[in-house]
Amino acid sequence: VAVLAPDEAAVLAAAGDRIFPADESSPAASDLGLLAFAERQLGGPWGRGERMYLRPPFATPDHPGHGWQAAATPAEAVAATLRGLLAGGFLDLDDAGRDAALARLERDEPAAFALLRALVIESVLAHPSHGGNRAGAGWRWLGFPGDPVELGQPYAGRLRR
Amino acid sequence: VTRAADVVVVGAGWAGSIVAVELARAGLEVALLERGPRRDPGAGPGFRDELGDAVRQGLTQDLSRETWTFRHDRREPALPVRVGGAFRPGEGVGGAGVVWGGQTWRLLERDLRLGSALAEAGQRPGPDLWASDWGVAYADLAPHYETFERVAGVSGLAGANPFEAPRSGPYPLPPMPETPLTALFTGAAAGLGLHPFPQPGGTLPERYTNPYGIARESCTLCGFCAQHACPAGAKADPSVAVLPAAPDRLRLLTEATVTRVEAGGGRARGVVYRDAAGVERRVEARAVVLAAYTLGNVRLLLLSGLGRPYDPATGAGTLGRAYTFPALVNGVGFFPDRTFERYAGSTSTGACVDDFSAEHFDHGDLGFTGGGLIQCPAAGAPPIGSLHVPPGTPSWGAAWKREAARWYDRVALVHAQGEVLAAPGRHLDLDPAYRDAAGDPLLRITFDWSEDERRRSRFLAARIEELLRAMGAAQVAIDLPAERPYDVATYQCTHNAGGAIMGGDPATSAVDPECRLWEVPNLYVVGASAFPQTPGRNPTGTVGALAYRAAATIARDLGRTSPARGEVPRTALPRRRGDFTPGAPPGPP
Repeated sequence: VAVLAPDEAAVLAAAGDRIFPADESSPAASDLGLLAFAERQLGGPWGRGERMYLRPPFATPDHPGHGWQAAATPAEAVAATLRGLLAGGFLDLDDAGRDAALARLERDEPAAFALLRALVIESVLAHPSHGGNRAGAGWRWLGFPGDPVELGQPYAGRLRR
Repeated sequence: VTRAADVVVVGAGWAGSIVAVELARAGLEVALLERGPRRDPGAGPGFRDELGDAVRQGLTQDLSRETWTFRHDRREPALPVRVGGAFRPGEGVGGAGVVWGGQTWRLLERDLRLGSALAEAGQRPGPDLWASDWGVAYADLAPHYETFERVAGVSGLAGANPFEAPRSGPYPLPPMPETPLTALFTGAAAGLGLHPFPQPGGTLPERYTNPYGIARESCTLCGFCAQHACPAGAKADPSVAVLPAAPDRLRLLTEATVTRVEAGGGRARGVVYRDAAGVERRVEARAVVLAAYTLGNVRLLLLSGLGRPYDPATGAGTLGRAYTFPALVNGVGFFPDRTFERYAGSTSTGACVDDFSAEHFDHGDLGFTGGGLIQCPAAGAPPIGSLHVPPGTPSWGAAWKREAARWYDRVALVHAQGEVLAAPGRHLDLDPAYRDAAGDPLLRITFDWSEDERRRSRFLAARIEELLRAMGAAQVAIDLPAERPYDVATYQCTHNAGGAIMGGDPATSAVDPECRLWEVPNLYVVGASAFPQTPGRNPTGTVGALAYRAAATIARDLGRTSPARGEVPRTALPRRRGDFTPGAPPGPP
């Protein structure tokens, strides 16, 4: 069973491709496996908040420094963000409109935006075994040479050459 | 169900593993209780998993079971750390020693007698700040530092830092190899008239056999050190450098969560723990050792009703008093015209200057005491956690994407660890509202930065900027956490200190100079909980030295002599090495 409804997944792909768009250096996030990565992460222990402290009472601090205080798991929080964008007609907007919607989200709900942004960047740069970073294309974009286990001993040799 | 042992040790991190192994080698029956699992290296994902280990924090404390609450001031309600965390205590055999960076320091002589040293230097800490002597002199701790360095296999260059405390000999291993980054920093610092030297660290530049007879392989510079378990076994970790030396007299119980110390009449009798199935069990012992990280030690004492809890309203009591945390200063220099091959390195690879620590410079009217170590790490660059863009760059989209890739290998990080003094309002107690998964109160942290840290941080930031400019940075960005309210959710470092501090006076310290709880002398509290204030450098070397010293004390208190180091009987090597060894197997002595 998919964690994200089809329209939520469509918003994630569209938003991910504005956060990490295609250019000459790499394809966009959705072409690197964002949705496969997100399904596994949101549907897994992290998405379910299995290692988070989720006991009440929940309170909203009036000053910074306390981090995440919402009652939602990461999966619930990301889905709520995507539904909010969907309700705002995100899929009907052109690129400039989508950028404006994401900029509003970043300004008005910084924690929700940070979670969405992190998910997209992680999908590009985590080991391909997690479902994103297709064939290491995210690493090639960045200039990270690759998993040292696969590169083996020559990895250290790169430094001394 | 009750077990009996001579000594029960709580926590299988550096401190607990050292004490347990040393006491077992001295002939005592030891039970070592660890709340987390034993991890088999073969059970990992088979690749360097930055996402699982560093981002999702798979190797550190499971906050759903136990977290901390935090408030900036005792007049406000505390809120729990729900996810993330400014610090990440370990969980599992090896504790945070599995995921540390390896940077291994001896304190300066003056650090251990800070109150006296500042008075002699004519420096007065700001109002409402406490600088204390530890009750142990450097000369007493030095042999234990040496033992820890030999066991961990610390690399470094004796004499390269003119400010270091006296050493009886060289480091056990030469420093990690220079990198393009450390070479640039070293040249620039020397050009400024400073005294650069290589980072001392517990990661092996070559194959090494330690005094327990345990051999480990050299580092491959893969760059996945802190927040990761070292797959090469090159990074010292108690599960690969200490526990394989355990004789059968040491019984390691995993997924055993200690909930109380049992005591009466000024004597500890043992501990109560929950096993993996949630069944409550007991271990009775002649001595109890708490080595459950800074925060765990204090919480266990408070939950057990031991010691004298500190009351910030009256200043009475000692337990929970003098909690501190380092004030980091994080600089990034941007170098448009060169690359550093940053991905190859280790957290024990780096270059440092100690010129702005302690009383090594003229304080004039700077308005703060002490200072902090400045480091240029060549720590590797796992991709998710190594993204830096110049200030003013959008945080996402095409422009961010272009800049993130442009600067990934064109930045140098230089950071400082500022000293932090204790203060009446910085303390630990039990939270009145929030509880752990088993229903016990969480530990509550009350802490915030003061003007003292802001002044010290600004001074260190200016020095970092000078260094980065001298290295050739075209642009410099410096983050000063002390300029904001303390952020308990974003990772800073796992260097929490104090709360059960050591000292010579029971009115102001919770444990005596031998790490015995003043009120319960067969209860030993070992770890950075004993630090009276936060020194300007990483804590683990000192935790290790205190642990070796405590082991000698406990053996003596129980009528035993510690085995001479370097003379490891063959029988001390484990017969069932799989019981203890997630890394390299022990080699010949």
